[in-house]
Amino acid sequence: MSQVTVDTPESTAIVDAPAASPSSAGGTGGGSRSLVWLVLPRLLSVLLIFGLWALASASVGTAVIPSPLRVWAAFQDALGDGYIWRDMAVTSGRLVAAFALAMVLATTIGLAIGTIGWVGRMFDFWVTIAAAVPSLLYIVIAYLWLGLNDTAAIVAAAVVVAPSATFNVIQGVRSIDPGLSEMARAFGVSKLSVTRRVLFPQTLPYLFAAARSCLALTWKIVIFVELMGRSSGVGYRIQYFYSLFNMERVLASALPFMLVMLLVELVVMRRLEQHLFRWRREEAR
Amino acid sequence: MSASPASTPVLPGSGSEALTFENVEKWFPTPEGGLQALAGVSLAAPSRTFTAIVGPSGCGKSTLLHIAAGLDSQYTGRVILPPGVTSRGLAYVFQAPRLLPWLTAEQNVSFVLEERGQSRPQARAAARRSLDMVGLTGFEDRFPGQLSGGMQQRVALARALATDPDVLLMDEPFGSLDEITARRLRAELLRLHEASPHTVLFVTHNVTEAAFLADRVVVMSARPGRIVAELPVNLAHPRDYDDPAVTQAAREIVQYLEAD
Repeated sequence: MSQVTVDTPESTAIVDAPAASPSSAGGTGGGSRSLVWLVLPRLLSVLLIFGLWALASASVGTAVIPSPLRVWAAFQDALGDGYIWRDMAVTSGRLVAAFALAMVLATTIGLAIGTIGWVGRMFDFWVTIAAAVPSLLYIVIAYLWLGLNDTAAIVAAAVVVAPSATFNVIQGVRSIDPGLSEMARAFGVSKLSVTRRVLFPQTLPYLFAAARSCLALTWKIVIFVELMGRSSGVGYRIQYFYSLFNMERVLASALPFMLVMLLVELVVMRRLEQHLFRWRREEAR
Repeated sequence: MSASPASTPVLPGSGSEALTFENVEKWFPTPEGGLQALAGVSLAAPSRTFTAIVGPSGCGKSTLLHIAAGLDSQYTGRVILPPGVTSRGLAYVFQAPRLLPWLTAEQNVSFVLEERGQSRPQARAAARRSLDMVGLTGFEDRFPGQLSGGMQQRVALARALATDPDVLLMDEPFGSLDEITARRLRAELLRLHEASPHTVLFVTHNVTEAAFLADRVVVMSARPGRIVAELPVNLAHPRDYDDPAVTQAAREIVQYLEAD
């Protein structure tokens, strides 16, 4: 659970774009019995983690590792103070803006590199370089150029996450099967329809994978960007309580937003993916 | 032709009703200055006749179909579609099924019909009829990934037939299937062709297949491809793949291939 504080932007930003959809291989069982088998082990593991957490806290001392109960109490206090929802709303706003900007950047650059030969030959290695630049550098430069404001925060987060999403888009464009376009042309399908009904659906799984990895990365970066130079949001709150050495409030600030984002990632995005690409899942059977 | 048991005389290059190639030449650009694929091919595929083109691999027979379909415009010579036929009157069955994997079997067929201006309900009904014709009743809502290779190729055939094409171009459509499946599909194709004959141009390197299916076989030479012989196949319908007469016709075709 202390993962939150260890997870520096450097370690996450350089993670390569995942292949099309590796995590969707799990598939969901239909019957209620398989649902039990899906939920029960996970529930047990969560209980186990909380047990270990409480045990560690008891043996090392609550000053170093606050117990789950104390973090819960700190969360209740924080709710009473009323800043949690406001923090989450502010951070979510920046997250949505940064995510949108990153996707626009990734799609535009990815399409240009993937479809226009000379653009690809000239610029494709720049994406690799852009992905290798430390996130901290982007963030510092953005704040220096644009000032300590929301624009800088959003631009910084977007630029950090865009390269890995760009890889996905390029991969998607390059995976296009020319045989299918040829088939469509042989049947007299118009150019516009070929783009809309033959080319676009082929890149969609990759665009979706790009969006998924982009979202997963963006919320972590946004918190870091806030910590670096904003005076509101979840990241600011973490930084504030960190400066007071208040571990309980640090965790109580980070965990709720983390849980919300995990829920979005694991439930909303995965469900959406499974629905959109059910033809792929069935192909694998 | 469907009713007459006797052989139908086929006039080579008969009249204006045919899909005609006139002195078609094709070069592929290479660093060494170019590779000639077709060397002055003149050929007519008469209307409502099944014409097979046989030849060794790489003789340019697939290139010829590409040119006919308008997929390749880098050639010299002329390709003349039958009067009143536009490129929309063509349908193509490729060696690979080339189905859109995110569409069901029915949607794969109705897709091309909708693109040709049919309304959605109309296209769906026609797609179901066509799938039924190739023996895929009950599989309309399957995705290609859920169908066997043979069934996928049936969908591709249904897609081509659903457009009721003026000219049906087929490029080794059974070449990648196992022999049992290929035999079944050949027999079905022949049955469908007898029931309502289309102008078919069928490329293959399998001489028995050509003899079994075609009314007329065009033999092409190795690269650069030119036409070595045009042979009518005067066998009565229905035909049997293992009929000695078919084997005999195939042997005759082979002689021209070997003589080259």
